[in-house]
Amino acid sequence: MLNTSTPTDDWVPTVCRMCFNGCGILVHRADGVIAGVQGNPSNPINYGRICIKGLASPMLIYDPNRVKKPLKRTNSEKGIGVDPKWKEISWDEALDTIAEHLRRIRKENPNKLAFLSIDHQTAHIMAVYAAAYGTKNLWFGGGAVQCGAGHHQVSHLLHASFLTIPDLNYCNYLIMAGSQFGFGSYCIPPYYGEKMAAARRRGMKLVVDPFLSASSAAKADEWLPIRPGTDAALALGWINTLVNDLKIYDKEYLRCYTNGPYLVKPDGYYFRLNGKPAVWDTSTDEPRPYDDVDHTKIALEGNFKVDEVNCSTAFECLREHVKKYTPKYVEQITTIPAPTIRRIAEEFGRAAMVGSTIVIDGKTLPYRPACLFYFKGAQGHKHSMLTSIALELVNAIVGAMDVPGGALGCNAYGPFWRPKEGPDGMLIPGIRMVPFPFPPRPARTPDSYTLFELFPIACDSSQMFVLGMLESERFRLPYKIEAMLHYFGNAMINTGNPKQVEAALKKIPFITSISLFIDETTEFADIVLPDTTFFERLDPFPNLPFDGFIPALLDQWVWQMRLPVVEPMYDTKPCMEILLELADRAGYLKDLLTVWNAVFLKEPYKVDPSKKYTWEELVDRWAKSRFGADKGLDWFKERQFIAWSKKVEEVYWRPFTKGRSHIYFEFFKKTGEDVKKVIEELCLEWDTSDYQPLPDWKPCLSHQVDNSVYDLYAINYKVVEHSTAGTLENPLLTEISQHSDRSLLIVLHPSAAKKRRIRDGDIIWVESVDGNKVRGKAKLSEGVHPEVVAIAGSHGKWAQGEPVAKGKGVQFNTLVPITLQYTDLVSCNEDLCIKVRVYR
Amino acid sequence: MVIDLKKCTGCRTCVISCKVENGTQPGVFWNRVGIKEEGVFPNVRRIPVPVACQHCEDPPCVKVCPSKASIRREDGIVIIDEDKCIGCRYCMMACPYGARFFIDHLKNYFPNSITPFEKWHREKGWHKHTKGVCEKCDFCLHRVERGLKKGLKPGINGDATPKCVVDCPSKARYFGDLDDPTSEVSQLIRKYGGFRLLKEIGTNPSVYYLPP
Repeated sequence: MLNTSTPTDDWVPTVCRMCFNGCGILVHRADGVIAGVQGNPSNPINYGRICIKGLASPMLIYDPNRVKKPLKRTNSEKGIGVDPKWKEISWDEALDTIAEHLRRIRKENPNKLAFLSIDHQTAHIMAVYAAAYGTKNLWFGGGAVQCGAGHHQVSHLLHASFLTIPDLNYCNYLIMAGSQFGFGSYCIPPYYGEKMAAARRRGMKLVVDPFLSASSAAKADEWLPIRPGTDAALALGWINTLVNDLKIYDKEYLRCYTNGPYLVKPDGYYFRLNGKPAVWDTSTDEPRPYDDVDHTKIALEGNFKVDEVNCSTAFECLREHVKKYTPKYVEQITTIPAPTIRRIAEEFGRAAMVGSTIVIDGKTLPYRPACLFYFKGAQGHKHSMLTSIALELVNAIVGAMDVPGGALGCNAYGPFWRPKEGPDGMLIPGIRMVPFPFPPRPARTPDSYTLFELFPIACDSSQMFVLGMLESERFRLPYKIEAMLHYFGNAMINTGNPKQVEAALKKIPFITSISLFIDETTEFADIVLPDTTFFERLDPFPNLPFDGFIPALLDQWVWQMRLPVVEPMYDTKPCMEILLELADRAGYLKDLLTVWNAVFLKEPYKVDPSKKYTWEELVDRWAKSRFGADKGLDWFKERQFIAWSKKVEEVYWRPFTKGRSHIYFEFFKKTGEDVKKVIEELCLEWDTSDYQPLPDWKPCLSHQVDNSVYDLYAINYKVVEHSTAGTLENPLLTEISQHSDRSLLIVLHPSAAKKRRIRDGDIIWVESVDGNKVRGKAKLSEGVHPEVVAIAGSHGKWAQGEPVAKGKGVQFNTLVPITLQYTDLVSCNEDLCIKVRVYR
Repeated sequence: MVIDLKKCTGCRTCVISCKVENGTQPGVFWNRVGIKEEGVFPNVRRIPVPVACQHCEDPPCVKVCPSKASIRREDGIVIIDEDKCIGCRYCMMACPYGARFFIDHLKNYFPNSITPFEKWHREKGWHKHTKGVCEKCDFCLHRVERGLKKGLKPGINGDATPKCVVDCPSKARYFGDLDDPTSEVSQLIRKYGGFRLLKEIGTNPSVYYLPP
């Protein structure tokens, strides 16, 4: 029976922050209470739909376990399970204490301060704060474990974008390697969920390869359960079948839009004329600089003798290189039957319809309705970079690159930027908020704790911060970290083995946490400042932190403003305003405003760095700088977002853009040699062999374990109801996990269980070859590779300050050592397949 | 209602959608999603099946209710009048879909405290959630009735449609008039061969499923 009273209520538009995506939501505000959330129907990011996490968000703001007042630690001992003995203090005391540390350290050497956060939605602002302070130590905590290092870097090289997505509007044949894109994980679940479901309804074939039949595999037309860490072999097997066996490849694309025709000498470097890579001119039968030949006369294939040197085109090198990946050989590596490998390659190749065109909005475009999409599961491994290259090259071979139906470099071509032709005629992104791989940075002796100088083509090397802290002498880091400013993100849970993170955090004398909860990382803080939830604050443009990252939409540009729905609860303050206040108290506000001017503001909206501004004023000027005088904060307070349609050339930008994508990574050779020189000077053991111009499958550490006792691969996967470690404290979502047949359990195949006399529901141990172990409840399922134990999410938390999350699920990262051996030393991705034994 | 099992990914958004809209307490799921695992590795299928009250044309729960609290409205929606319910739970025994929940005592999501969100729902939300009665999905009657009053069309306008249909990220749920052969739901059932759960027992549910 219904209640009859009519509450006084309204619906406030804002941006969700239950994961990194930031969907447009309407918050039901009734009698001052947040009574519900729904998708904003007019917002093209999610068109009124919403995911499970967004719906559960009212439980975040009203969690009674939130930090309510500034706290000071009174127990100087730090460690896992050690009670910090918090004492409430005033905001003034807290801020002045922190400011004093910041002021002193900045005078000595600003690099002695580290920033730690994993908030994608304010990462651009954090970078500005760090730059203003003058530190290069930004620890994007959890970046590697949760995210796709190799994917992002290869995406930059081949698609001029931070991320690549499948064109679900036109794709007819989609292979997904190690991803649940469109099934609740990764990009905008309410947007791609609908697109994926509609594509499958209209008959798009979906082939997926994860080791676990999770949401994507459960709904796929074909599941190819693969041995973890072997996706590169599968991709190379497909490429071999396409180019050598079936002879299906897009000559036009490879000749005009890649470095496929560049001549390569036997030493692996380009043959150059006047400093430029040369191609073979078939009209005159001689080599010429790549930009000095009619493109129809360029040879894509073949071997040519130039100045008595035998050169091959880069494409020819690739074709020769992949010959060893016969389906039979690939079967041995991946456990996927050879005939299946061949059949899928053929289906994919035919579906790509090489040579066909389509007319969209009056423009004739290449039509390649086949795509291979990959993410975390495929490339979260030791050889992440080479794996990502192998996978992405499957698209490149058939020309399914940034054209209808294929793989799209998302937001590469934007309203305020576009991809460009860089050195050697190669494609480079048009925007530069995140470092991208080409042209590579010089390798140098590290002077940042993330050892970023030793990763000249990586976007990020955050988790190396832990190694930097633990072994600063070994890396000859010239100063000590004396303080850390931490907000949003739980590095203890998200980075790798917590014991190592603990040891690293214990070495930092003064830690400030701006936090919602006393989570596992905040437990190490000296001062805790209570943060606000996304319902209680103003964040400018949380969707385009890197001006091209998200929202990864196919049809619209959207800039949103996060608007506060209610006043901050308790004695809390929004993090961004706290950082602004700290800059003022620590005496670097002037520098902060100068950087703010340079990065975000244009004339006539620039600020006077010698004055003070409120957060609202800074946001207002940013909005006006971007969208003009009439679209300041007031405009956004009324409309919340601005959106307009993408043009055809912004979505399918390849035919409209100069600059060639890499299919041959010549610059890797030189970069590898540079890194080698540096590490030899440092006397480090550091493998540079992955800096090779063409991809190979190479075994992970786990594939090389020569101990029959450790006979299973422990591997991590994502569940729809959680995003990183931050949502497990939400009792609505955790209740869902408790009712799930997997989320909090350890999944293994009945045959593996039988061998060990494990029954469904038994409490079991998973112990790694490195001696780390976790415990949990066994769940037997036919939907998992028999060589795999699958553990979900960033669960298994222990902090007293999050009693809902505490003790639920299994902490996979305990099994992941943070070492150079378990790190891809090119992309800095972490290897997440660990050889284990399992017992009761 | 039509649920397209091909489109459904088992994400359970509908479960939380329902809980947040109707303010149900821990352990009460007017919407549930079961996972059916079939086959042997590597030929395995996992089919998510969302289940709620099927709003049967011939509802066993209505037949067994001694206090006439469970009724089937003219528009086909089966509801429980909490004021009349005596908490005998016969309906729970009779329902073959396990759609009904008994509130033996009021519970909150955080022990020892009630959030303003839960408090608001309990005092001013659409449902009273009384101790000692049974409750279940009512196709978000409050949304449908409010919407109709405003001249909106259930299934077309979000504000007149059950919340789980509006929220579903995959657009796997549809709502409309089964008696109208031109409605989207009727057309989908014809086009894709919609079926009903436990057809053989003759309850004639108003919820149709499209094959996975």
